[in-house]
Amino acid sequence: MLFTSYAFIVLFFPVVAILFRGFARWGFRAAGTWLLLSSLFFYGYAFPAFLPVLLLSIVFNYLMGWSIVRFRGKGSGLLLAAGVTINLAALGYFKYARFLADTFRPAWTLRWHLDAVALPLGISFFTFTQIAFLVDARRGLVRDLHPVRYALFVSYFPHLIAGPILHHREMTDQFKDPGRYRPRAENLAAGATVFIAGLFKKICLADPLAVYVTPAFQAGQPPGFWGAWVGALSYSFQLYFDFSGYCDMATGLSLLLGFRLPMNFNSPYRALNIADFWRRWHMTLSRFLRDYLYIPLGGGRRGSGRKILNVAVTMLLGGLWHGANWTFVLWGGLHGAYLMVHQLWSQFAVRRGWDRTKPSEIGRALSVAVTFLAVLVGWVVFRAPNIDTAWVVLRGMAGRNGVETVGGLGGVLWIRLALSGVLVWFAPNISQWMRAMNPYLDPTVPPARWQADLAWRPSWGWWLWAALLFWVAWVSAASVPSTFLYYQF
Amino acid sequence: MRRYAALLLLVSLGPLWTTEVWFRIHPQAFYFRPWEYFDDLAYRTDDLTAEWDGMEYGDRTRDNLFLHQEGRKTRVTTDPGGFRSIPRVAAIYPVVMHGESNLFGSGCGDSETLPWKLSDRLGLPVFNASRVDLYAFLGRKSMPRPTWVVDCVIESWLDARFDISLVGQRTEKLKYPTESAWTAENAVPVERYRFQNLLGRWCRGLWKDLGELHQAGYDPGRLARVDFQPYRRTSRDLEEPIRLIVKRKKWMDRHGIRYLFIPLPSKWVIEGPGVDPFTSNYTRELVERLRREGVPSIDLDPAFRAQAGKLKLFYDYDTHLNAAGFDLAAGEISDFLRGQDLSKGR
Repeated sequence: MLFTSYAFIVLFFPVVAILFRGFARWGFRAAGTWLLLSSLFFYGYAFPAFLPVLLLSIVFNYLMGWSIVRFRGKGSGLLLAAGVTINLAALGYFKYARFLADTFRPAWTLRWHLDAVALPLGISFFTFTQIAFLVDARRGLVRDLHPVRYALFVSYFPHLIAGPILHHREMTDQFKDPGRYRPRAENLAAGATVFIAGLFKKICLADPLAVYVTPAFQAGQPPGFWGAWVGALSYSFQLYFDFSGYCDMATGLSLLLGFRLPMNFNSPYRALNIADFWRRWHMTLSRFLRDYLYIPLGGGRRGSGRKILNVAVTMLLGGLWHGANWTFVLWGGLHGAYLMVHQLWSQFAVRRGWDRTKPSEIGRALSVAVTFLAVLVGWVVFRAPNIDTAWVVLRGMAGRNGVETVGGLGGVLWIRLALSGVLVWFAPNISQWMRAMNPYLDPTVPPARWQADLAWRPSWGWWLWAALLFWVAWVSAASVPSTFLYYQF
Repeated sequence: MRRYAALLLLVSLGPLWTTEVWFRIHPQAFYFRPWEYFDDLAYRTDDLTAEWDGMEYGDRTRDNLFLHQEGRKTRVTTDPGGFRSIPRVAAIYPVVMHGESNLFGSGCGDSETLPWKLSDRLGLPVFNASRVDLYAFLGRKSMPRPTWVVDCVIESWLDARFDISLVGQRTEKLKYPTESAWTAENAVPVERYRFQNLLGRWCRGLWKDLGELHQAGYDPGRLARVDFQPYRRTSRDLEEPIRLIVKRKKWMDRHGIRYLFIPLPSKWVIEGPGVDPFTSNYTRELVERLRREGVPSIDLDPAFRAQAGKLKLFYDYDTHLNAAGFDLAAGEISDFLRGQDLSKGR
């Protein structure tokens, strides 16, 4: 069930929220159980065949986590290794088995053939969430092992399919808090507003850009200079609005129920360098990769050579997490290379004694432009169905496929791209806009000077805007809503 | 804060819930025409009767919101097989009428349809087999062969591209009945009652209204007429229809059924300004040629032209005949059939 679907908005969520409020007077036992059942229904509604996979994963990881906590210090490391291995094996089977078989069959002249394995929705997200739980259990960070709370933490429907990737303690502390079950007008007002902002981003900003993306990435049709740039730019904006729109909707829905989710986007295209980009884009995945992969590998504690290697490994695996395709590996590798260059440049700047803490406005703009360009090249590789196509599009962007006339592209396209650019680079993000009623677990992001007047407050003006955005999005929505891009990961 | 939250939820979810409930209680309010409703909903939902008791509007102006609307309350019912109701139900029908939307009685109540009026005039059962594949229909085990089959096709359909096999076919999506008209799929088309779809339709309609008003200098008296679909016939437009109609007559002969072909008058030819002479005389020429080929046929145009100034024979914003038009046609057809043997086949 998609957050943008009629069934979800008109029937499912209102029923869940109203009954949740009804059950909330009896505390977590009733309300939490209701939320858990609703979440399982949400997951099983479209793909009932995958529900057993989710349930099995929850039961297995709960028992492993319980055992690690119970037998801490007495073989818990072995239990953790077993738990992580089995999780990764399950993920590998569903997500990468076909890819590996296809990759190595020619080299090893394997005779066996592996049929396509259906990929359970959200498996990457709920597997990573639970690996983090097992590691936290081993680190002694897990204090609550209530089975319903655990199952709800994993399956909680606002984040289940495409994140954010949560820490166990972030949610269980909220689930335990009796204050969360009291209805608060602030949560309703902010939750509904943030949800509407996400709905608008998805339907009115992301979806219309899809028509400009597809032609550029069609195999066998090398795009010209403008076609390649339009395709790459459109995809960069489409992916951002699609995924951040999803996250806004998830945040809004969760807030309507009384719980806060961590922030997942902080204006990533305004990043001043590539390391800054990864602190702003899909922040909970970056956090996971940092806490559970980069730091355990040694992080930056073992010299600059080892640090660069750790970054490369982390980014390659982060790329592969997105899917079983060499393009994702290359994309991860490319970002690893960017980070290495950034690291070397930073060291060089420190050695030269340059003060990079207060760049000029021109310096900032240049930094943002260079970073965005690097990210843009990465998105071409990320979006392309294969490396050959990515290369063709990049050649097109360099003008090697010829330069076509601009007139054929249509005026609406430029308006869309310009509007997207203004929103991405100049408008306040949700955290800045909603700082009067912070919808996230994280602290609010201070706004720029010119953004300060645009802060949301429960006024008639903002009410009118929210209602207008809702109806513009709703009227623009296709009969069959399009799925979120990150659902495929 | 409380007021903000309550009003935002109300203004966003309120209309959606209202239309959802409204649709459940009165789905006809969301349909423009009975047969849309029948196609989409009534015959796909087991417990919904195929009965329309509501408003219909001009077929040609469905994209407008306020302009050119000719609302009329109609009652449209069908039998369980999906065939339009008739006054006399029988085991064997001496006359079966076949045709397209005009014969179904688009825009008309049950008792205003051509088969109903013909049945009243003849005092005999007349079956309304509109909007079905004729050969499949005649092959039905439950329907003994009739004495007469009367094919009624609006004259505007008869041209060089005419395909007789499409007369009566509804949509490609939904094939019409042989034994039973419908397949129950229990599908409710959510697009019909989504408030955003309604809102979108209203907005587009209002935009079209405003565009037309702007073109007319905001003088409703100068609005362009939308009730005609002008066309021009040539001699090539005679050959294909005649070939196909003669072929159908021969099939009927082989199966012992008498056959009558009636080109229903077109609004453009009867009332339209500046119709060229060939198009104006097309029906007469067609009927004469058919008769020479041995196909009984009736030219209704003279009777319609004679009454055109005195009676309104077509709907205002619609190319379909209205009750008065069907009354006139039924008189002409009954005059012809009364002189024939209606009791048995050839």
